[in-house]
Amino acid sequence: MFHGVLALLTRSLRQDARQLKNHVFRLTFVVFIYLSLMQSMLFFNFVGAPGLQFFISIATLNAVFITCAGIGFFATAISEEKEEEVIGLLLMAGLNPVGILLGKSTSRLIQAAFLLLVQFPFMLLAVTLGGITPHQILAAYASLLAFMVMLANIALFWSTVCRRGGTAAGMTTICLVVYAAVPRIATQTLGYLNSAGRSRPSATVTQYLQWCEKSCSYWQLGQIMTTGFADPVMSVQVISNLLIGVGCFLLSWLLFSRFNSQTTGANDGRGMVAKSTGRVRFFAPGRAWSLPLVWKDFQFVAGGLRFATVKFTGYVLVFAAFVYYGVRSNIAWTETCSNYISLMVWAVVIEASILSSRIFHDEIRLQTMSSLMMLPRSLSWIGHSKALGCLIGLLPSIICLCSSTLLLPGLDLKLAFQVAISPIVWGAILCFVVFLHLVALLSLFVKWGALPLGFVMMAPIMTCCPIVPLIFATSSRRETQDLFNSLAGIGVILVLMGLVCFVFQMMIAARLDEIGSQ
Amino acid sequence: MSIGANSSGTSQPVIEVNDVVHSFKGRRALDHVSFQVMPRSLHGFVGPNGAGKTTSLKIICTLLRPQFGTVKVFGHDVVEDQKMVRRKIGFMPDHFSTYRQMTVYEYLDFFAAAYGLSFDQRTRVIDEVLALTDMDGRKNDLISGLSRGMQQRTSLARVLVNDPDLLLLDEPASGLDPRARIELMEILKALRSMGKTIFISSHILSELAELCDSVTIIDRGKVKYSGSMHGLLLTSGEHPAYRLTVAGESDWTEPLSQLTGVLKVEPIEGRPEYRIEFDEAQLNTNQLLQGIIGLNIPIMAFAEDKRHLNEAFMDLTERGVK
Repeated sequence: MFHGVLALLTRSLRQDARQLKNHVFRLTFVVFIYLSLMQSMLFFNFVGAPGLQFFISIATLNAVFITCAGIGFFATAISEEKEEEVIGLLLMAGLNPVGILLGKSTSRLIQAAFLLLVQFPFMLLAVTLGGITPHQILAAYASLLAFMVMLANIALFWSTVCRRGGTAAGMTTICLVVYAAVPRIATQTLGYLNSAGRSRPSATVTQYLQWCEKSCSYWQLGQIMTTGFADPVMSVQVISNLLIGVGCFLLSWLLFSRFNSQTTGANDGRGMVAKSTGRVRFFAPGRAWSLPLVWKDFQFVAGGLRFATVKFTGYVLVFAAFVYYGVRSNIAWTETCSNYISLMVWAVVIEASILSSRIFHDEIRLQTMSSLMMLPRSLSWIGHSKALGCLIGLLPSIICLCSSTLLLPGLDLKLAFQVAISPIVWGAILCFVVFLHLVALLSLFVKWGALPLGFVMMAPIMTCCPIVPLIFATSSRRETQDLFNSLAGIGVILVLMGLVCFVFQMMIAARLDEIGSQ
Repeated sequence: MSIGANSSGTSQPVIEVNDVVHSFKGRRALDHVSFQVMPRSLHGFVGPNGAGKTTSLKIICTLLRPQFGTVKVFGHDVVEDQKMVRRKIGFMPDHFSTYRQMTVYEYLDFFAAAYGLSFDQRTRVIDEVLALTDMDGRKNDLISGLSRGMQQRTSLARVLVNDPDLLLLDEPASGLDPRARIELMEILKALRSMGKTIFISSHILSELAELCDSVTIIDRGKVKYSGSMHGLLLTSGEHPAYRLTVAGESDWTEPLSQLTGVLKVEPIEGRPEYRIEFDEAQLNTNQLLQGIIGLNIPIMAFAEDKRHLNEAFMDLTERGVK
């Protein structure tokens, strides 16, 4: 068994060493640490605790890195072998399930852990800068490592169970959202239950909610960064995360044979898209529209009419739940609507982000780009038609968002006009459009994980492009009711962002051209 | 619009490749490649793996731009008149290039719509291509559930939806079982009879022998032969050769070698046969036959020695990899 595990481990490490992008990624990491260190040195005399500031920025970067790795890197460990239909060959080569799991996931875990561990000596420089103790640094790294072990094994579990890497990545993301949201919900529930006039929960429930709160790495890192932190390194979070990691690994081992015994390819089926020969033909894709790429991407990338109906029903039910909860708890209608609007904004953002990461994914996976490029149409027509198809898939959330905005009491033309000429609103929308372009571009280079990678890369892009100071500069003028300044600001933002989007579109076109000719 | 209705009737070359050079990362994939393909012919494009077949095909079908030289399809330059070329050709890559989550009908309908066909035209054309490729019974099946041969037919049907005059097929028979291979060849013959020009690449010459009118052999980026299939079979070194089959087991090598004008006599191992190479300047075929009769050899057969296709291919292409 160990021979096979070592063979897989060696293969992974060799592949990792050969790929230039991995080294570039590590270099970027080092550059970021160096820049943070420089910033701390420069502001040494102006900031109270430069070491702490330096450490916070690096710890945040690490937390984001682990989160991204969990979705893009760890979640494809087994599913990529399934997609390439080599699981059977690995089993025939004498490797048993635990060998494959160890060989595939441990190598990735080691690679990621190394990246974390090599920073440790540099982090001790933060102690010299002041504001942080070696104990805090040690506790932070223990917390991050435990989080990484847990996330790698959750991703491994989904990678074992799911047939496709994308589904595994999606399920890992949902688990991450739950992991990040549960402590906050637990805290708020505790606070709500402890508030005056409410019955106090039992000691067991309180203890459980507190445990939930303490088991989150994001929460634990926040605690570690506070002055005077003296809790043990092996905290509840570290132990619980390690235990969850081990549990997920064992579960993956147990379920491996059940989910990987079939020899059929991982790409069969068409998800929620109905078949025209099914009982309910209304939801089937039917015949292609006169804009065929719009039809194709709406039906097969955005999920089609059936998925749109499911989403719309879901959003309406959520609204009904908001209204019901608001009426029962005497929450003002404005607040209920505002909460729902916030939720729908997030829904639009998440859906659009996922669609932008998937827009070209299937064309690359199924090698269909050359067939599309052979059509007597321009690349621009192909790209924009695909985007339009995905946009139609966004309609349920957009309709719900707009409808709930109209339900907002006190909404008048003056307020709408103020929002329409707000540089902050325009800036946020355009930043998001740039982000979508970036994610679509990245999806042409990486197999999985374009979305988290885009999220990480947005920070330097926004730093290089002077958009944020510009938004704030023009929005501060707005207070003087100077319409001209606001419009001028919006104009400049539009031109700047349009330029960035244009550059991204050119890069997407060049990459598509390259893929099509491969 | 129906399949075969568009086929042009000119005698101008359909494909004209002139002095094309293309390199990838310093490695020359095509080295001054030139050849022509005539209309309504089935032209084989043969070469070992890595010879430059797919690169040539991608240049012809406008997916790649030639770094040097010109390529014209139906008289249109593939770089300057890309859209016009794309309207007239159908390209089937060596991979299936299918949307596996679609049904066969959805897939064909999508491409037909993308080529700008109206709803009614689409319905008619799809029925025709499904009938031609014998896929009408599987039109509602998901492509992911089809066998390799069926997926290949679906891909061929897709190529036909815009009724192109020229079909460019990159190794269409690779990975198919013998039955699927024969059926595919039958479809190609049917398409040729409809007046289509078919340019088909393969790394197995014998696979195309019965099918093709003309052939281009490419090796390591250089064209080794381009012309009729018959011409390729006759091409053999500098001197003509005949094959003599005799009765009995006597060795006639020595007496045959003594004949005037005979350059080389090769006994064929395990068979009562001899390959006789002679100098055309000294004697013709009649004189050679008279000489053999004069030796009182019990002749069973005397025929022109056409080289075996694989032999020709091996002679033209180089051993090993670049």
